[in-house]
Amino acid sequence: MYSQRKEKKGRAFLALVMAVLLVALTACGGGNAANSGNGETGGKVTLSFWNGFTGADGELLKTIVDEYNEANKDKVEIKMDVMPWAQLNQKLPPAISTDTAPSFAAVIGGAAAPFIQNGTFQDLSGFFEATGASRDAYVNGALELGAKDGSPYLLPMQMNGLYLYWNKQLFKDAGLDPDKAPATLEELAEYAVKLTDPSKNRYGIGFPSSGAPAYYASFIIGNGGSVVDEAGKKSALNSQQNIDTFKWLQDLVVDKKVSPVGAASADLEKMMQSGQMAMYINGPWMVPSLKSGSIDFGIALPPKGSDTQFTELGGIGFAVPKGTPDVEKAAVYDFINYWNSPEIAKRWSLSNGFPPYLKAVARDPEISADPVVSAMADMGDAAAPFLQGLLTADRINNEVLLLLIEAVENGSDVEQAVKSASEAIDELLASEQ
Amino acid sequence: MKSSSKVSSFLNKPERAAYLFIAPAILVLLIFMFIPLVSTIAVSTLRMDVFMQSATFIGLDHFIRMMGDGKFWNAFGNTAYFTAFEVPLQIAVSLLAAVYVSRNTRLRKFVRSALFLPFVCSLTAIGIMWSFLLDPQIGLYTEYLTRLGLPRLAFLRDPQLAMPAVILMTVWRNFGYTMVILVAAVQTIPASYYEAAQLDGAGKFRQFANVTIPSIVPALGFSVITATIMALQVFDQIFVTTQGGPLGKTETLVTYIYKSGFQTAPYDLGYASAISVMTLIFIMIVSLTMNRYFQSKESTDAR
Amino acid sequence: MNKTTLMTMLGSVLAIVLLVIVLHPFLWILLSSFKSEQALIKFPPTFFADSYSFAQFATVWERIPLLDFLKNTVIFSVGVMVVSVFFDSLAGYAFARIKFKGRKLLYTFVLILMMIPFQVMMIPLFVQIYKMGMLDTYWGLILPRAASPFGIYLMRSFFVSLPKDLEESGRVDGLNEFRIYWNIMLPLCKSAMVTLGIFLLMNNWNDLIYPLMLTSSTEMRTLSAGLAMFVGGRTIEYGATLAAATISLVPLVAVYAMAQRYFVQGIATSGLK
Repeated sequence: MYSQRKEKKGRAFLALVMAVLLVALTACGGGNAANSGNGETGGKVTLSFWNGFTGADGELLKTIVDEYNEANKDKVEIKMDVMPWAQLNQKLPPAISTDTAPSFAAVIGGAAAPFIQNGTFQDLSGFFEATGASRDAYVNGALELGAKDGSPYLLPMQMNGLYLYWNKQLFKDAGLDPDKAPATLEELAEYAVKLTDPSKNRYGIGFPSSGAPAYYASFIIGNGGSVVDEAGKKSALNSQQNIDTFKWLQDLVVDKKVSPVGAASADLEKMMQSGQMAMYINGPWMVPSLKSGSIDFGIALPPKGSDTQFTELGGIGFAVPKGTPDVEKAAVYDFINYWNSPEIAKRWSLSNGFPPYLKAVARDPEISADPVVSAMADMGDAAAPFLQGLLTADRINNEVLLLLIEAVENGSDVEQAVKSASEAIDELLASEQ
Repeated sequence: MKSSSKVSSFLNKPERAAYLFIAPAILVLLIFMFIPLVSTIAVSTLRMDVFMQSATFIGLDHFIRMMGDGKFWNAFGNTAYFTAFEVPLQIAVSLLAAVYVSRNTRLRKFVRSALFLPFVCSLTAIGIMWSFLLDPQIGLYTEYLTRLGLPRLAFLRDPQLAMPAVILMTVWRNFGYTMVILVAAVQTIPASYYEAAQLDGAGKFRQFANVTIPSIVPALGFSVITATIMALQVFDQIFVTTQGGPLGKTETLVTYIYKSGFQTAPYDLGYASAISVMTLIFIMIVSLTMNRYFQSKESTDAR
Repeated sequence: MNKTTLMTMLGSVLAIVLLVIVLHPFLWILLSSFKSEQALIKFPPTFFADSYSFAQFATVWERIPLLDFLKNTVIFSVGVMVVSVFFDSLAGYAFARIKFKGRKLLYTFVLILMMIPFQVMMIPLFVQIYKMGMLDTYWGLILPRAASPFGIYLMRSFFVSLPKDLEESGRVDGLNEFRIYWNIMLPLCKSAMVTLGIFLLMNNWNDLIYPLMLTSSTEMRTLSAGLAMFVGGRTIEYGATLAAATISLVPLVAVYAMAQRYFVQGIATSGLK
């Protein structure tokens, strides 16, 4: 009966493992009751802070938060929970409805509208009185990132425009002036054709069809078109200007083959980084990867269209969910004030290559000395939010406009595609009411 | 001791013991699957978003809306397309492989466990890996194929190629699992069956068709049904690679549920729940029909 | 050349082709996690790189609390595995070998639950776990998965295929029903249990949305959430992503290699009624 004894031993072992595990679990579970992180204990406030800085910038954010915790050891502790933006957007609504939301969160401006409209973010107007900070310290537009009826619901954490990046070496190779960006969309098209070289698998420019909301805003608005009417109630997409813009795009992609078809923004970014693509429009987050690829690049505002020059002004702001008590809110204000001190804001701006949004930082000599950041800082009147305040802005960008781009890139009839995209926008806008 | 003997005598009645045995599992399923399921069905009749601040009863309005929703039908069609090609392909490849590796030589045992390897890995990791390998610029396999004289194809970005690419990727991951099930079934076929067929003058192919296949019907049925259920729920690999694009050609029911309910505003939980209910009904019809078919097949073949 | 050897050769060729198709990507991902970002994105791509380093692993190490994630993943997935294998085998045994009132109905109920995609009940489950006060706890992660319809289905198929009359000998010896299950039946289905165990282990080890929804602090996250950190951003760091993928693969492949003898046997039996 040898084998039976062996079986018995095996089962005894299994039972033991289970017992140990269950005890361990109970012990661990007890110390981890839901939301024990939040709240006040012995005069010290613990704040939970959700954000999506998963990349290299997250390391600097962590350092800054750690320093703040250290400096305010007796009063406050901020506990960060970092997750990809997509997951953050997905987790936040049910968390708010069950009162398990963090004390505050970093939220992308474009995704904030639904929270602001249904009252699940708090009005942050009190910030200025509570901390003595001045509204005038911010550059134009920074406080409008998440504004409703003149009250800010988001306080700026970082701002950005979209910029045209170009590879100077590839410009030289194609016989173009490496220090001169295309000034108009006509020039952009002309350059793109010259820079494209199929024999080397090299593309003049990249037109993404996913992961790049607002990429095409520079073209649409630059050429005098728009996506929704002024009131934000009806689609304005089906206009002659827009049809011309998309025909122009189709000609470039389908006939002249200046861009890969159907690529995600991240893929195109990699092609810039590996020197396979000459021009791309993207936010400041592309700078570190260009630097790590040792690309000699130039940066400028997107070229002027037939009507105007436009770049999307976006950003990430601090938001306070409705369940956060006043004690915590006051502590959050203090941290935001710390973050928006010239010293920290400058550090964040310089190390990540984001344009400054505090006037004091914008004037700083170190900022003007940085060729990349100073180029971004000078946006003039070209920068404005795109589809701001629309509940379905994300959907219009990702599910309608980028789908339209896909159709255009795949050779669909432009007039038909624009018409059905316009209908889709009307449908989305109707669903907001 | 008294109480223990009481337990003992209680357990001596098989029927009562059975309830005790299923109790923990049924309790868990009841609390953590059935209640959420009932809530989903309830929510499908409400106008409600993820914030759950207000709810209005609207009856079957969501279902009526669904009937006229082109995106829903697109997702439905794509799910059917995926299932119709992925499942047979997975079964066919695994059947071929199973026939080869079912003999227990050392080499074949090695092949058998190697082919199972992809099933161990997460779909997320596999999705990342394949979108990398099939990238039109920096993808190694795209490069290999162009060296073989093919044009530089953008598998996951081409409206015609994206779904086939996702299907092949899924087959690549899953066939090892089905193969192992079939191997065991093949191994239980008595050698005498083949000998008899040989005496009748049947060649290898006829033996395969007339002996192997009928003998493994139960295992085939299990494989087809579990593969179908998995295919109808396809989500992860699509979400990592194409996110439903290009042109919505890889949008499936579950990715559509996810997008309409949880990803962006208006976070339409009610509508997403209604699609969920439809999806569930659809999966139930398909898998229960299959179950019935295979069971009838088993009983006729047994004769 | 006769027909049989031709078939054998054809079989070998097929096997080799399949083997290459299956293993080549694994070798590639392993090798690539030691490459630099520049080597990964260069055109034209190559299988080998000029130099290799641990730099990508260092990035992963710095960016995420790897050991915490690993600990959580092990507690969560092993916890689910142990509890669920036990519960599933109990239920599977009862469904397969004991006649009781409502058996058919309850079994159909279990089968239907197998057909529900997780996304369908994600939000209700979240709310429920919250109401039970188990958000962000190990219990909250493990309990909802403490039984699996698939596991019950699998274990039942196994128990059904065992010879009849096994119980009778136990009853003659005066064992109660639990003893019959524990002493007679369980030892016979070791391989099915290993199969189910590894199936559950890898499903939960690799699961992303479920643990992410039910935890709300970095300290409770699992490895797959760590992996998502490298792909979910606005820019993808390919090198670090591949290194993270390798890290999450290695433990599973190791477990698989150790258990594969039982495993491959075990799954196999599940197909038999």
